[in-house]
Amino acid sequence: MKRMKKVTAMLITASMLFGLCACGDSNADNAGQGAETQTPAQESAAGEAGSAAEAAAGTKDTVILATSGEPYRFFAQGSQSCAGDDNLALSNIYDCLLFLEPDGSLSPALAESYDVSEDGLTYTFHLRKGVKFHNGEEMTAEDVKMTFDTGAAGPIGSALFVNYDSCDIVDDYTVDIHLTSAYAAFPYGVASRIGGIFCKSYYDEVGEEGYYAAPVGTGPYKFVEYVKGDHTTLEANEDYWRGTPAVKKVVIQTVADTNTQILGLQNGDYDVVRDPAIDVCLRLDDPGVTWAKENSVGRVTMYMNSWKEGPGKDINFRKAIQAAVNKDDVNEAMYSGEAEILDIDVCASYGGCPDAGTYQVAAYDVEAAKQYLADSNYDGSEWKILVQSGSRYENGAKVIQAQLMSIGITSCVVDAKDNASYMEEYKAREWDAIIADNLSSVVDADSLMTYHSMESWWDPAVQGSPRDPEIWELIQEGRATQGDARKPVYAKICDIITEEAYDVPLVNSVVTVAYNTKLKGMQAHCLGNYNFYYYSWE
Amino acid sequence: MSWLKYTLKRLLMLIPVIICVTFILYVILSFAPGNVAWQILGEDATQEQIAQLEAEMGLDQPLLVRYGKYMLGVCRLDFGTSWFGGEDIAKLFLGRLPFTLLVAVLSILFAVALGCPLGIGSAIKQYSLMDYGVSFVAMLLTSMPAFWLGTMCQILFCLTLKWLPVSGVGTWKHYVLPSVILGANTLASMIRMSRTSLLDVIRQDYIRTARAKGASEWKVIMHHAMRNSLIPIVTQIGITFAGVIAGAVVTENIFAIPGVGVLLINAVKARDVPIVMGTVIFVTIIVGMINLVVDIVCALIDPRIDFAS
Repeated sequence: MKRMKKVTAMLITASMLFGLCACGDSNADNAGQGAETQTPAQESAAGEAGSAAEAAAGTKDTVILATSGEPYRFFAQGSQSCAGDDNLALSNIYDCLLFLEPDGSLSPALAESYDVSEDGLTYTFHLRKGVKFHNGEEMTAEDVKMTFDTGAAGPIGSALFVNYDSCDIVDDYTVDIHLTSAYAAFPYGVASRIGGIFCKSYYDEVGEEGYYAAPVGTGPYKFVEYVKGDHTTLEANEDYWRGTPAVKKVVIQTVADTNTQILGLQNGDYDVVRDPAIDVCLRLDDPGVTWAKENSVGRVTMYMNSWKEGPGKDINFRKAIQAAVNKDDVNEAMYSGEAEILDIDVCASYGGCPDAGTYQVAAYDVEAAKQYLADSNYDGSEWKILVQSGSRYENGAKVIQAQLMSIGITSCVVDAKDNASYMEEYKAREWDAIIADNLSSVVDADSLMTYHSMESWWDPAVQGSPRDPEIWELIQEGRATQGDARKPVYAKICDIITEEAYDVPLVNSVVTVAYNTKLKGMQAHCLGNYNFYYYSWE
Repeated sequence: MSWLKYTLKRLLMLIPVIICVTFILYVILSFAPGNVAWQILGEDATQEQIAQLEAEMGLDQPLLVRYGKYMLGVCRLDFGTSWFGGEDIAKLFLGRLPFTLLVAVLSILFAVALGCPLGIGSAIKQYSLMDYGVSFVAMLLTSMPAFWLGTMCQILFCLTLKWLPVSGVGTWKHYVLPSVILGANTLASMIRMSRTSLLDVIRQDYIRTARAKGASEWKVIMHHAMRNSLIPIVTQIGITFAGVIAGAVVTENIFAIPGVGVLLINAVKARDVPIVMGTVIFVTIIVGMINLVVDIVCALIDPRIDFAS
């Protein structure tokens, strides 16, 4: 009897343990491959564990990029927004009518050329002939119209296809895009992620969900697979209109830990590391690894809330802060001193950026700062700087906090929040100040409107900016003006911002990339794009 | 029959546990700051677009209604889909579980295989140099945080010695470091638990009697003492295993293992409620089953434990 009980107990235990072990799919197609099969990253590492970066990791026709943030939205014009992480894949699967080059300039892509009407309301794009989608269909004006109509209606359409009205098909290879009012920076929207041309007939067949699951574009790489939390694989488009890419396979590997990314690069497990911290790059001394940087199209600025009740409503208080911030120290804290200091809230690469010397600059002056503070109504009330926790901006905020303490602002608090909480507070505009990297896909001085629009488009009930009517009028003027004539307009806007001390521009943010020295054609891109088409192995 | 009844009873008890845990979790998540619709649509979305998406996702309904609908779905084995990628939750979790299970099992095997003998030796040679040395090692392992130890081991074994890969999964070599790092703390616990447990037992009268009757020291320890000292060790293994299933986040992060811990923590950060809820339900079931297995094994080891009563 006792023996029977023991046997029963053992059987129950064994069956439960078996059930646990049996849980899970050995062809785990949702979370990386099981032990029986290997991802390309592991195929290269298997048996070569510890190979140095000097020997190229992986096979010679594969590039493995390590990133913390993984792409997962493979269709930019869908009902879900898409972000910088998604652009890792989007910029390789799709081509736009225009390319955004690494330095922020535009060049012809699927459109060989374009014309702008005199009133600036119509852009005529002349499409390249013979360009094929990954499914073999030829790209025509119908696909372009579908792309723009769908993209404009999406969640980020109004931000990137600014003033878009409609798109007319002139013929199979010509489209007219009409705007509701002139917008000189419109070409940057065309080159943005929602400008990636998708296949109308394929979309009609599979719908939005199908497009997310198996995207089709005209880009140099085709989508192969996405395994959540593990990797995304792309393969070369052999019929690419610019020629077959040298790198046949790209693996975008999700590696959360940044130390592991760099160690993996040095060990040969990865070939490229996306956006490593600059202080890590500066300490790299492995001969098989190198790094590059580029000014990004984002400016790191401390925006001050001048419209809600509190110390920030007093212009003298804001001017005190403006004069008290030593940007070199902030640069050192955020970018190890490698970023360029900004005097205005516009990057040098932006279209319409005023020339140096044509605008006012707020000087660093501790004595003046103390005087402004003495003249202000500051009563010791708490003044919070909102930042994302764990980010370099938190470091910068702490340096600013110390600088403000030295002039007598002792109630400055660094309010570091996780991403979800940060987004909520950012939108509610209840912060006293915020330090953010204002990355703009529209590489134009018009991006000043982000913090100076007259209406908070996400919620009209929220005041999200100073609502300075003079600035808004000048923004409209800048949009309607073409060429270098825009520069003085934006110079005036920057002067008003400086005089009113609405913000403290800090630095032009920096994009970095670390990579295997045998990988040629690597270049840091201002928007953080990785154009694998240009890469090749030595 | 009593075994079966007991097992069934324990499994049924999981139901109120799951309800309790999921309800508390659902309430906490609903109060967490952050608007999911904003995150899905992006910061440029208008209020109308956000409201529309919230209505589609059912987020405009009262908390209890949402929770009720979710649990009704769970009863039909529908755990929903990810809010951010649309993946089926059950498939997602079950795809991740093998990696976590493998690392967990290997780490416990490592801890037990090394920890028990060291603990036993330490107990037998109490107050000797070996005892002090082993205790010191146990203290060291407990003090070193996994994120530090992991990175140091990567530098030493991967970069310098070039014995192992830095991260990822696939070959047996990929699982060596994660298992060791995850098992380090457990190893320390095993050493201390084995030592303490055995010390308690070898002071008992029946051990003295066995020695007096001329049994060899090996027989005294392995035949008489070990079995009686196993119960706390088995319990410790169960607790550790249960903790590792969803708690190996740091190790999974460092070694880029696409496991359950990382899935859960990323879902919490992103406020992807279906993933959080589904993962917690699965983990609760697994932990419950592990505890049951531990209890059964303890009953097998110690015949004095009788489930019939």
